[in-house]
Amino acid sequence: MKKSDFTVFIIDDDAAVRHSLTLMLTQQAFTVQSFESAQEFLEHDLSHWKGCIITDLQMPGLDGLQLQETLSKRACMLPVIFLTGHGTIPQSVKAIKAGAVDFLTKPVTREKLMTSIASAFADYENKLKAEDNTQKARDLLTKLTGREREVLAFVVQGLSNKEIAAHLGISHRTVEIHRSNVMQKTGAVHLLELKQIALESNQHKLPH
Amino acid sequence: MIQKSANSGSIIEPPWETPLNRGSFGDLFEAVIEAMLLVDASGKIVMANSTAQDLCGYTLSELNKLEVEALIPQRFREHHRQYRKHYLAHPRKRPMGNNRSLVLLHRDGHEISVDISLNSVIIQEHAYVLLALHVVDRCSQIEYELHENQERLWLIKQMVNVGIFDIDCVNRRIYCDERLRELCGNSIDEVITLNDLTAVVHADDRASCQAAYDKAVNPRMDGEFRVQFRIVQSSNQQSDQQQERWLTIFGETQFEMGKAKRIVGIVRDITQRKQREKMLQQHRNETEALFKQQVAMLTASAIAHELNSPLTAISAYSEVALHTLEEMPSNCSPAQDAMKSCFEQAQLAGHKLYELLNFLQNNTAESEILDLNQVIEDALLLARGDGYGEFSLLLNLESTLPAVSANQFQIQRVLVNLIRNAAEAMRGAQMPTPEIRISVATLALENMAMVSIIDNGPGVDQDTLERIFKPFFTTKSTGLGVGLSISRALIEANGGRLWVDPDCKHGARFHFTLPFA
Repeated sequence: MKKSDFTVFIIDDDAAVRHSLTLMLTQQAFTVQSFESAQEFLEHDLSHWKGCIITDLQMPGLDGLQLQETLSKRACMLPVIFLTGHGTIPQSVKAIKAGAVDFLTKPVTREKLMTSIASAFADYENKLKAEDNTQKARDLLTKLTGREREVLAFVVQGLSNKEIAAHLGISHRTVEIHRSNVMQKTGAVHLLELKQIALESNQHKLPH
Repeated sequence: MIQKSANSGSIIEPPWETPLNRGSFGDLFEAVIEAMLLVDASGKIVMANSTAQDLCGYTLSELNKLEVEALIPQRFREHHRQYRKHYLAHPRKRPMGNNRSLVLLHRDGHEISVDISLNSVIIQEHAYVLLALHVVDRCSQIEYELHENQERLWLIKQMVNVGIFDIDCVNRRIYCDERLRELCGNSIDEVITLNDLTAVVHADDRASCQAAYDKAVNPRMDGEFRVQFRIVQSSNQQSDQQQERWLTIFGETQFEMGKAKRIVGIVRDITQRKQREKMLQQHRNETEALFKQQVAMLTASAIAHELNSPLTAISAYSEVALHTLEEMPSNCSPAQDAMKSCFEQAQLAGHKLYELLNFLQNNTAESEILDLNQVIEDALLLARGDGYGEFSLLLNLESTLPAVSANQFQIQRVLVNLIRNAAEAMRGAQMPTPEIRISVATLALENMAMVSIIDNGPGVDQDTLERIFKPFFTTKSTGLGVGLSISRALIEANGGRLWVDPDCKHGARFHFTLPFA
């Protein structure tokens, strides 16, 4: 966990809750930013913000669940921890299903909050790593020509060179050349690695 | 139609010309109640008494000219002539009622079913046949009608599911019809004593049955016998399992010389109705409990909403202060700030609660000038209507009680609640003779009216006594435990007090006061 890189975003309509939680988290060397409503939070460009969100479930205006929905529409990866006065079971089920990290009841203890933030950050880091790998794989694949990408798609599906040649109406030898180029450009040393790259790029289904 | 041809042949010496006819034989013949005919060997009617003349519609002189076959329908005549010849050859006594129904043809053409007995007689050396005619129609008609009526009665009784009883008040005996005996589990005879019937009545209902009977036989009353009670049937011989049925009786007393002589009436099985009523009542109670629970939930959730934020802040500030004191004991200003915020939040929480309560109390009901006696009677009706009526009631109202100033519905609500509590407590403890006493009194010093609701149930134990007015305290398996706390709040809102006597070993005694108008 890199506390210095990550920020805890607190969203609660009660000033004292915001203030006291900010004090508590600052004491634990977290960077904290607080907002009095979901709308205020969403006004910002979230793409460069890293960390996690702690939000009240019941709020005037957009409530916690609506905020969660909006974030997922915007493809924002910030994990969400819910704080609730008296959350009903259906509400918590809905929140957890939609990917909430935790569902904490007020008043929350420091210990519980720390545990939740730690797991939220870990969750976020994993997401970042996965995102990074995807980006790298995509970058590698951009170097390929159209024909090379076609060949790659068949290769990861497990087709032999002969079959690929038949599918594309080219010679067996040409397929071998394309394949060797693909390996060279992506830096993959064997088929397994090549499949991994294609998977991470989410692009192996592309050509057809 | 009469066949004139049957009237042919020579006229013989009629026997009524004989000395015998003029004497005792003729008188005797005439005196017989049955219709009598005397027919000679040729089939001529020689004598007919007046009953016979009436029966067939001919005068004697007309009959004398007729062959006996003229009195039977055409279709039987030939057969009858054969039969007559055969009979004269072998005369014998033929009594009535051997199920041969014969048909007599009346002068006007209509047919009458008759039973005929015959015997041959010799009068002055002439053979005659003596016939006695007995009209079977009238008798069987009556029998038929009786049967019809019985069947109709039976059908109606089946349809409306009633039994019939007939009480002989003098000998204290009851005739019970089949249905009534069936309702009583076939454990009683057709005629039983009043005591026999009491034996199958549920022990708890015997007193009310006796009271209804006493009222019915009281000549100063209207003679109406009306009571609902349970009877206990043994479902079968070997098991001691018992089945209860609810019956309702409605009858009317006949008085003679100022004394009850007889009560006749009907009994109906209302077990199903009672069960339905009970189910509906349960359903209603459950719905009410559910509603109350919802109200409680909403109230609790409103309180939670107001308190959760300050509590969260207080908790967080406290941890901040603690942490500061642990980590940097020398620098206590952050801890001081946090504690100050704690204090403010605690104050805020209190204030929010106060506001909430104020808001909830805002719709105070308006006071009216009330006749407490009337309010009590209305509340009793409501409680009984709600299915809490299984108790005998002792009302001690004061007709001269001055009016009080209170909200009618709130006071009614409190009374219904107290009556229900009493009835439920007594029911729960299975008291054999549940009884509620309600009395009003004047507290002159305080210028208040006091209402007391006293039951003879299990009372209130010391432990319960201390908590009985706390919200959400209940001794019942169902129920939220807010009835008494709400009741007390309502009475206090109306300027009175509500309390329970501390010594409650012989039943609970609740009292409340209300200011006079």
